[in-house]
Amino acid sequence: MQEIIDAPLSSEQLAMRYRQLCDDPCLASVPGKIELDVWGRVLMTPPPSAYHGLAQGRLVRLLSALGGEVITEAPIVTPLGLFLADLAWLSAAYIAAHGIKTPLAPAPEVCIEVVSPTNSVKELSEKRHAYVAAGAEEVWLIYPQSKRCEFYGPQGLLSGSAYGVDLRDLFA
Amino acid sequence: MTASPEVVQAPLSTEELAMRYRAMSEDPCFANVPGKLELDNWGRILMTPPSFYHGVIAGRLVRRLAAALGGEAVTDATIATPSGVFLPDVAWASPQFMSQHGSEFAVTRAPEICVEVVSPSNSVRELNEKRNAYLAAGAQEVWMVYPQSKRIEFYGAQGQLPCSHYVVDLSDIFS
Repeated sequence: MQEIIDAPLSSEQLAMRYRQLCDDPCLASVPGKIELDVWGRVLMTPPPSAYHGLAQGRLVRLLSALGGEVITEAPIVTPLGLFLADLAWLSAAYIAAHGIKTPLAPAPEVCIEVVSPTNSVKELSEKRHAYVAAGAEEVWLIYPQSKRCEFYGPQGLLSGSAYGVDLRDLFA
Repeated sequence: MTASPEVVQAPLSTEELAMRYRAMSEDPCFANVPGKLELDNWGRILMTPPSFYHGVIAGRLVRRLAAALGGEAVTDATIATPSGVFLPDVAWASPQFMSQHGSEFAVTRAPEICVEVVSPSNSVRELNEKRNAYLAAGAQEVWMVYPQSKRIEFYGAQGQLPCSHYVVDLSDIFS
């Protein structure tokens, strides 16, 4: 085995490491999310609040209007690291072309983060760029506290989502 | 919802980092997490998986440091630096350091010697970050111990040193 990681890891190396982490009984009792930065460092996110889970559950229902599939805690390998989107939406065409692998590659069409107080603007900006770089059409950032949604595409902030999902009841 | 900020807007101060680390240490949710937990300066939790041989080397270093220098040899000392909360595998603190900082939960000044025992899960980027963080927080020397290639690198404020200024017997440390 190599003594030290001396270069950023490739997508294949990140995917392999992530699958090993998933199978490691040592990590079975770790609460929250496990992600990897591009240097293989394990990033841990504490478990979310009930309200975070509620917003996630509602998004699953609202996204089902699009058909396709919704995956919660979707592991996505990107050029910037291996990250778990709180939600991802995949079209039937995506599934036919790429299947559903652990981790997902390329990124599903829509990747969504529900913002928690433990997130930083740096982390959210990193993930947004990572999902787009990995092929996402849109990244949505949902802010439950201030009850707002931001939509991003490859060109940056969008005035709205092109997917036309009705999000009116998300924060009710 | 609470009035706490919706998202971390700026890098955290060493005081905020120390407070977060303390809250995490007291959180039963983290009690069974294997390995070491650290925080980057945006408050992100970093986890390093444990390894046995790594612990053997760290144990030997503790004994050698304490025997040669007196003071305290500390494992997993919690240090809040401007770059994050990091735990060197081993640190050596003089009696003077102990009398000034020994009772702090997370010290905001690094002990005189901070040692990292390199694991295959470490990256050169992580080790560079930590080395700079410990030196910036006041460490006199940072030692990087490479068990696989059986070598030790010594760093001071001016960069790499040919050897340590502290006289510690490190022979047979890898045997």
